[in-house]
Order: sequence, then C-alpha cells, then structure tokens
Amino acid sequence: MTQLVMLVEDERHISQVVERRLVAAGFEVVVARDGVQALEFAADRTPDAIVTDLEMPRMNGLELLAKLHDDPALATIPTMMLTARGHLAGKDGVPDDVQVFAKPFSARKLVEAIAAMLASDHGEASSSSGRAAA
Amino acid sequence: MSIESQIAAIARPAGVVTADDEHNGALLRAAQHEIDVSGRSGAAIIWDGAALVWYEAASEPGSPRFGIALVSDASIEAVANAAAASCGLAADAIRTQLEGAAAKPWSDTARLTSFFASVVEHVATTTEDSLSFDAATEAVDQAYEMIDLLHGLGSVVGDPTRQQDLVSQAADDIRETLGFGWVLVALDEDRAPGVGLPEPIMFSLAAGIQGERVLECLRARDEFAAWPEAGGVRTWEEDERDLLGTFGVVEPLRVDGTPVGVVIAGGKLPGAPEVSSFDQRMLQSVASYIGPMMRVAELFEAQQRLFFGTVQALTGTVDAKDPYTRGHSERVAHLSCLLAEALGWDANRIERVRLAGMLHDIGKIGVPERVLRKAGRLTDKEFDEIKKHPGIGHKILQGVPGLDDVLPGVLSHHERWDGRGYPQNLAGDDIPLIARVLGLADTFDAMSSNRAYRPGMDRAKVLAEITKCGGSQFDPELAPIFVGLDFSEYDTLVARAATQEAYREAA
Repeated sequence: MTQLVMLVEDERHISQVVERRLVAAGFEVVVARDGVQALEFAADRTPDAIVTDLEMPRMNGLELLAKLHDDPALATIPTMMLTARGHLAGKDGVPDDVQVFAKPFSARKLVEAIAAMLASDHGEASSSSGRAAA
Repeated sequence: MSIESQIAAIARPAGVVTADDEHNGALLRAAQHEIDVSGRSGAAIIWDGAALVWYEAASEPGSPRFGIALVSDASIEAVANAAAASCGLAADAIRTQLEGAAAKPWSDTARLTSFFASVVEHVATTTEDSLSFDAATEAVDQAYEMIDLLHGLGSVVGDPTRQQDLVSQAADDIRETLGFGWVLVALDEDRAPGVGLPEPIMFSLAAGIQGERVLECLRARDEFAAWPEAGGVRTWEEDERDLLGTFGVVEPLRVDGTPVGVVIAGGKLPGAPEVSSFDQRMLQSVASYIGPMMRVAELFEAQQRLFFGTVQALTGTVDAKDPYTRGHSERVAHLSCLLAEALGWDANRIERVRLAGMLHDIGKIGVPERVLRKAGRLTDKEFDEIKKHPGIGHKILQGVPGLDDVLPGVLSHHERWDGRGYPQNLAGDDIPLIARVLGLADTFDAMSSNRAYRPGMDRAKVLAEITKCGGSQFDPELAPIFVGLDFSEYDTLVARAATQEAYREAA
C-alpha cells in the first residue's frame, strides 16, 4: 500500500521541492502549513511518517512533537525534523527518536532518509510483533 | 488533467466542437492556419457566423494544440467555406466536423465565444504558471543539491585530515543527482594521495556500468593524452554512445591555474534529464574545490615533513653528544605510543605522545658532554647537572607554538609516583599522565640498553623490575599494562640502531 508522508512546512518552495521528490519516489504526500493544520490532518488520516519544519507560525515543530507525543494514536509515527543549519545546537529539545535534517538540504538525500526511516520502523514493528507472537 | 480534456469537459455539454490532433483534425488545421496567418496563439478567430478559439502552449511549440468551434444555426456552410478557403482544406471535411456542434442563435454564439476565449485564456495562463512553477521547483531542487554538495566540500576543504573519501563522495553525489551512468576523476599520479585517492583514476559507477570499458573507450579517444585546458559539453561519436551516452561533461582540475587532472561525467541513465548547463555548473563547482584541496594537502604535507624533520634534527643533536642514547628518543616514542594505544587513546593523541617521546630528552643539549659521556659512577654534582635536562628541554620548547600538550611530558618524565623524582618532586596523579607514560618507556629503554657504566639488562629482568616498581617509581595502574605490551617492533628498532652503529665504527 502507498505510504502517506505528512510534510509540515510553511515555506512553499521547500515543501514543493520535497513533495515533488516524495511523489516521484512513490509516496503519497499531504502538506500542512503549520503544527495546528498538521494535527487536524493527522486526526483525519494517520500518516505513516511526519517530516516537520522547526520554525512555523501558530504551532512550531517542537510544540507539534510534544502534541504528537501526548497522543497515543500518533506518538509512534516515525518523525523527522528540518532545521536551518546551526539553528539547533546539537538536538536541543528534540527527542532522541526524532531525526534532525539541516536546511538547506539535498531533497534527494532527505527522501532517501525518509524511506530508510520508514523501512527501519517497519522492520522494528514486525520484529516487535514477532516477539509478541512468541 | 490535460488542457484539452479540461476544455472539452466545459465545451461538450454546451454542444461545442473541440478539435485536437486526433479528433477533428481538419478543423484543427483550419484554426492553426488562421493562427499562423494572424501570428497569435490563444486567440479567438471570428469567422462570419462562427468562431474558433485556439490555444497553443507558447513554452512548448506544437504541443498541446487544440481548438474549439462555436457555430450559429445558419452558418455551418459559411464557416466551412471560409475555413476551407483560408487553409486550402476540403470544405466538406470541415462541414462534417462542424455538424457535430449544436446550432445556436448567433447572439449566443458571440457570447459563448467570448466566454470560451476567456476560459482558454485562463487555462492557458494557469498552465503556463504551473509550467513555470514546475520549472522553478526544479531549479530550487537543483540549487539545494548544489548547496548541499558545496557545503560538504567546503566543510573539509581546509582540513587535509578529513579529505579521505571526499572526492569519491562528491563523484557519487554528482552521478546520483544528475543521473549520470559514470563519473570519472583522473589526476596526475603524484597528486592522487593528497586528496585521499588510492589510485590516480577513480570511478563512481551506476549499477551495471563497467568502468574498465568506459576507460578503454576514453583512452581510445585520447581523453588522457593531455589534461584539457577548458571544460564543456562533449558530443561523443556515434559508435561510442553505447558506453558514453550521447553527451558528456568535461571539467579540468587545476592547481594554481595549471591543469593537473579532469572530471568527466557521461552515460546519462534512461529517464535522466539530458545534459544541461546545470550539469556543467555542478562539475565546475566540484572541480573548483578539488584543486585547492590538493594544494592544501600538499602544503600540509610539506609542513608536516618540515616539522618532523626539525624534530629529528633536534633529537639528532642530542644523539651526537651522547652516543649511548643513539636511537633512544625514537624507541621511547615508539614504546610510549604502544602504551597509549593500549590505553585506548585516539590517533591524534597518540601522535602527540610520539612527538613528546621524540623530544623528551632535548634538554640534554644543555648538559656538558663530559657528564653525558662519563663511564663509571657520577658524582652528586654531576648528577645534579643531569637532573637539569627536563627543565632545560621545557625551556627550549616553550617558545615553539603548538606544543602545549607535549611540554608537561618533557618537564615531568623523571618524576616518580612516590614523589622522589625530579625536577619538581611531583607525586601520584599530580604527575601529568603523558609524563607517567614517557617515564615507563624511558626507564624500560634505559635498563635494556648498554650504558657507559653497565651493559643492558635482559628482558625478563627489566619487566620484573618494572612490575616491582609499580606504585613506587611508576603509576601502579600503568605498569602492569606496560609489561604486557608486544616488544617485537622495539627489538627491531634496537637491532637497526646496532647495525648503524657497526657501520659508523667501520667507517
């Protein structure tokens, strides 16, 4: 089944570039313009992965991560954060299980990383269900 | 959804004929002819009693093309004749096509014509917008690739220790970003190691592409006979295109303006965009970094050689004064590095230990030769002279920039764990770790070597002595690790020094 990637990004030129690559790589894409819209969309249909910007109006990336974390239905979605280079010293405030990707980035490499993130998440999910069965 | 189908979806329910290459071709050509005559695209053509609205995408001449025809009730015959007269087609063919249109009063036709003209104009504008938006997105995407590539290169260009694999990474990036089947980097043989290349010719290859065959083909072209002075797009010969693709991009690599190599990319994969100026810019950018990288690497290596040459010359002056310590500094450096490795220190720190080992006895330059060369027991006064060498060495090296981490080793390598060493009577953890490491290596070599006043001790006895002195002379944690080291390379160094000595005596 086609996997749905939610892109949370207020800068249209960035979301457009990434969306174009994701679609070409066979993903379905939904673009939210900020954290508030992202939560609305996610309530409507749960995405398989979330890629969010840090700086956004209304609700920024870190606030969105906190909200996602608090919602049991959304907490386990593999998530990646985009930041301007040098904006975050290390991974300040970003939970350990969230990957950080620095802007400006290669959209090609970002899409590869998203695919890898989904693949490894899938692997973990199946191995944990394997344990449950055993 | 295509423009044609968008227009058709609006037009057909209104009983309007639409025309494209497949359907109603005669009508299309009639409209096209009118446009060619009027020289306008996206225009409404009004014949007597009928109208044609015509669209042709300006950015892609010839496609997509379509027309729609609006016909008033009384005028099919007139339109067909007018169209036929203007484009030279049979009026019958056009009439047949127009009969598909529902006849309307002319007043409606006029209104509908202007309505559809605005629809077409709108669709045309939107299409142009989305085409230029796509193009802009593509350009932004490419700019990101370029920035990412240059950021990677820029972050290591000045650091020769991090250049390993960088060129091959850049070649992979170019190939994957631009969809080339292969990217080749070729350099003057002696420059390849400077940028971390094991070979002067390096390929980045897409799956299934054989580098040797591409190389053969390029060699046959004399592509390596001389490095190119100028870059650009190459059109390969007909019979080479299986391997090289139709076009390739060539960019010279320069050091101080002189070509010393080349980057060549070719064999675009199916589905990849054809070679463009963006491809050329990417290669130019990479080439503009590799040249300075080679230069930096050369300067760095020359500086390293000069530095270690100077250190060796310095230690050589000590050896010249005291033949019994010949090769001692090198052996202490070696043993200290072995211990540092066993302690799990990183490569950088180990190199600093080596340097400290080379320099630890440099202060003996300031000790009188008659004391250093004296056979037999030293008087207290003479021993006091000897004891000055760590302080003298520290003083000599203090003025040399970048030795801050080496100085404590030089000053304190004769301190003892129990505080009975010299020159500062430091004890335990107060003795810098590097000095404790050097102290073990120094004592081991001193005990093992022949001295003016005694022959060298055998290995077992030396190790037993070191073990015994853990906690008194030596750090109790380091001593057991030291005695467990592998001394085979040390023995080689001793044997080599002995051979050199024999030659020197024979001469």
